[in-house]
Amino acid sequence: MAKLKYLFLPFLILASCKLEIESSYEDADGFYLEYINTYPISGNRFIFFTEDTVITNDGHDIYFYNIHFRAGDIGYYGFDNRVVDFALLDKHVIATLDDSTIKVLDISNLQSLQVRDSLKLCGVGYSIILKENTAFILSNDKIFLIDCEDKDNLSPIKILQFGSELVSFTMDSTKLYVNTGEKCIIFDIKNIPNCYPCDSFVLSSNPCMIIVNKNSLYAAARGLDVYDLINKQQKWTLNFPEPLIISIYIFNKFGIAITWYSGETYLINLEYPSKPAVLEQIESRGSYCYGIIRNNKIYLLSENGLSAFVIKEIK
Amino acid sequence: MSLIFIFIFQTTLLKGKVYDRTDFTPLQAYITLSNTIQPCDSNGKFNFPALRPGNYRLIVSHIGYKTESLEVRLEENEEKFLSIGLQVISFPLKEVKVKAKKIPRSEAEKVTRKEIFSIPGGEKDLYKAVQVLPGVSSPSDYLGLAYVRGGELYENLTLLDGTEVLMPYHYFGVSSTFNTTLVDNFDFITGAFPARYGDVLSSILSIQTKKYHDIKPHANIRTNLMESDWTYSHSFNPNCYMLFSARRSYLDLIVSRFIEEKSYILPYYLDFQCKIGLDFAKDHFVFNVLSSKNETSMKADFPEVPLDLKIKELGNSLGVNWERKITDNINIGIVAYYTAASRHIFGSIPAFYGEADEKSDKSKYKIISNSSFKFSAFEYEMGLGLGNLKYFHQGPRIEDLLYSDEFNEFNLTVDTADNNYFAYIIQKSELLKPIYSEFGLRFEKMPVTKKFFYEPRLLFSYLKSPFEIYFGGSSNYHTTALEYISQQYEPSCSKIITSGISYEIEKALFAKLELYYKHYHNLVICDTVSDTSLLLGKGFARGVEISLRKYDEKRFFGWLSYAFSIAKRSTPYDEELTYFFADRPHILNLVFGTHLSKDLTFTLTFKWMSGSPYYKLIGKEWYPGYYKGWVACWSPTQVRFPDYQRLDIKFSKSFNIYKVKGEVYLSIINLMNRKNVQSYFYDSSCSNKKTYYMFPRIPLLGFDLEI
Repeated sequence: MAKLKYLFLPFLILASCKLEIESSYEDADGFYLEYINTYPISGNRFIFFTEDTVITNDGHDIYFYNIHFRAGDIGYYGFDNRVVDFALLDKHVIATLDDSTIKVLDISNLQSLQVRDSLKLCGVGYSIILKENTAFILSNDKIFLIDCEDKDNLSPIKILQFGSELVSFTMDSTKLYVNTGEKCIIFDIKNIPNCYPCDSFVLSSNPCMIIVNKNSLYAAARGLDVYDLINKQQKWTLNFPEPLIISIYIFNKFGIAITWYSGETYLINLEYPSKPAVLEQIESRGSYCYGIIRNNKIYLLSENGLSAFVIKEIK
Repeated sequence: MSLIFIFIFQTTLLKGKVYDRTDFTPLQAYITLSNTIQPCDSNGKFNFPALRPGNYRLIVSHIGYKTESLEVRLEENEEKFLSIGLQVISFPLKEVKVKAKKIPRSEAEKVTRKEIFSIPGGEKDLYKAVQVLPGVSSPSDYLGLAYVRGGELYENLTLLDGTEVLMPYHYFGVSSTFNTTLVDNFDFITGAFPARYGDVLSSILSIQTKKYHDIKPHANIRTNLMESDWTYSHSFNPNCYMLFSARRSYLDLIVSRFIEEKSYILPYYLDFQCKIGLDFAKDHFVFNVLSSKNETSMKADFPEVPLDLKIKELGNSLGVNWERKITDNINIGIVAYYTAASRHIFGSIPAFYGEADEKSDKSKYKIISNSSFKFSAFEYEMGLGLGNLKYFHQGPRIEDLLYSDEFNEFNLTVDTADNNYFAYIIQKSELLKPIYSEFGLRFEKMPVTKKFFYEPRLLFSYLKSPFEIYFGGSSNYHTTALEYISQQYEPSCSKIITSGISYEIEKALFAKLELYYKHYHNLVICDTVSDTSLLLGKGFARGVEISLRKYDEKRFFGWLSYAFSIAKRSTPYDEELTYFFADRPHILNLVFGTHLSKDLTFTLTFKWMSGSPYYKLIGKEWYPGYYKGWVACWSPTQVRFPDYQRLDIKFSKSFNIYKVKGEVYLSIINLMNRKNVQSYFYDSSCSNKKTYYMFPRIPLLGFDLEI
């Protein structure tokens, strides 16, 4: 009788047999994009003011929108000139205008917006990046360093003069990377008043925009060129059907790239910073001009009259 | 009248059984009756039919036992049964001086026939038994391929009774081409090899087939879900025997009844094996033949061009092995063999960029004929050999079609033939008692490449006590990768250093620890994308193996082993060495068998190993050239598949009904139903993946019959 117990074992096993040798198709990396919402917001650039509020620029104007309520703009300020770029500093918007001025707009009270100070530069500021209380403003062949600690008294710190027109710039915690089109000049900005050029390397294909992620620098050109910042060499080029990238944005392991002609937008996998790859093309109704990723949500702004602000979530 | 006379004589019968008096074990003793000598069968039984009535003297003898002499009287029509017990002879033991004729070896793993048959999940396949040995990994449950210590497949040498076998697997490893029923045991050498072996880098699988001296012919039928085989053994006289087997898979015959497409050849395999052995006091002669065949169609819908192929593979080996013992210390021997493997592919093959080749016969074959003479005297062994190699390859490698996408399809055209020769000398000596050494030197002229090599080989053993052996070795080896026998490629080379300790804890219980380091150079690294450049790569493998093994003496048998290793090789795409695809840092094997009762055996195997490395898909990129479209983008560094785990169990019950002996068994493969990942498959958009798993939980029922 003792041996009979062995007879039960095979039957138990057979009863629980699952003959699965392959799975159904699933997403390559186990995530998918979920459409969240679309808002009628106009502009060509935006930044987050609070979790719910975004600031956009559209022509001469700065708009404030609450993205959780479809109530339109909740604040507005009209400058005398077109807003080229802007940045946020302690409830103040630092805006560069096409009359070669920068202005500080106090946005602590959206119902009563007012300019706190203004500073005339010797050139239009095409791009602005803030580090601590210093604004780095790119203008033709110069970069202006403006101290913005006292919002009522903007004071120039330094002007970095270059021998040719500048295309774009970016920075990380200790370095400023200036794109001259042919070269990338690196400045050490640990001590901002005494910043100095510390290195440079050749850019192969005249990128219109550069961005730094860990030890890699991405240059938006015909494709997305990847440079190794340790060896200062190009390591990889990620190609797209639309052969010109105008905008890239990075958040953790993801990035987005927007192409020039049709504004097609691609979600980029940055799990391996030295080798970005396209995860998928983000479906759109219009052509996007600007986008960012924040907390695994993709925010995209389209222009050309459609004025749509689209949110998708990476799940 | 004469008819009646004969009838009466035929009913007079003498039969019986011979056994050991102490433990009643049956003995295959020799029975001498008048002028007739008859050996007992494996159950100790003998049978003398048709004797005349009268008095007979029966002499029963067996080595190690006291010879018995009996007087027997037979009456007319009498059937007499004798039960004869023999007494073991006890000799007074004297001190025995051991000479270093054969140094104690601990590198080889010997696996017995009983163990091969007991291992669950393998369906009594020899290679499935190899896969659970220390340091061996396999890419898949579906295949019997064995990657040994981070080595490639072509770096292993398979010998069947001394004959090299070029096609040891059916269908790239689904099953071995040997009929396991005929296998007696095998040695698996993974460390330092003696100088008599050439053309090998990683391992030697030396298979010894059975001998058969039973007076009765013996037939064996074995069947399971996959295949059925038939074996016939016959002993012509006490010195000459023959073994023959035929095996065929039959799944295709069943499935073909349920499909309408009759032009499609469902995969099947067929093999024949024959051995004729002559055993005399001084001469031993073995003639063996192995012939195997695979045939199938391959149909698949690639994006633009369908794949429609018919594949036929043939493997034939024929070998002769003769050994003569001239004196106690002098032996000579001759080994000659012819071995061939060929593959023919008919049909259209998707080529690069999806344009199909025209209907054609793409084929390849490799033929090796080899003969060698061996002379051993006292502590020396010498060998001389010469051979001829023919190699032809045209068209793509079928492995690329199976394992890669169309971008990795690689065409190769080689048509060559050349002679090779070799010589070796081995000296076995006692350097400083109890240190034994075996120094060997092998000279070899490689075929086609015209390169001449000498390979020094050193093995040593230190017998600290009869139970504790330290061993080690250092050797150089050369081989040419099967697909790349061409003058422009240097033969691959490896240098191995190994050392270890073997300790007998108690009777039949051994513990072993071994460290090894292998350095490779001139490895064939093929850039399949550019189609042209083949690079000479480098690599290394190093590791440590620990095992505890219990031989089948009483109730339990099996082994527990753990291997830690690193194997890296260069690739055309990376500047530094990267993990080789067969690299498995951790491999744990447990094989456990127990006899639950006299006729019921339970066996269990458990294997756990790290996942193999691979480059994962991280997205896609646009290919801007002539072929515009999205292509896969792979990670720059390797990641690993999830760990592999598999637990198999087996119950086997032997039975004896009338004159038919048999065994019925139930195996359950992957008892825990672990989902071991075989591979990931991505769709053309590179956005979706499908996961292919290895064996799910599978119960298998099979039986053996012996007549």
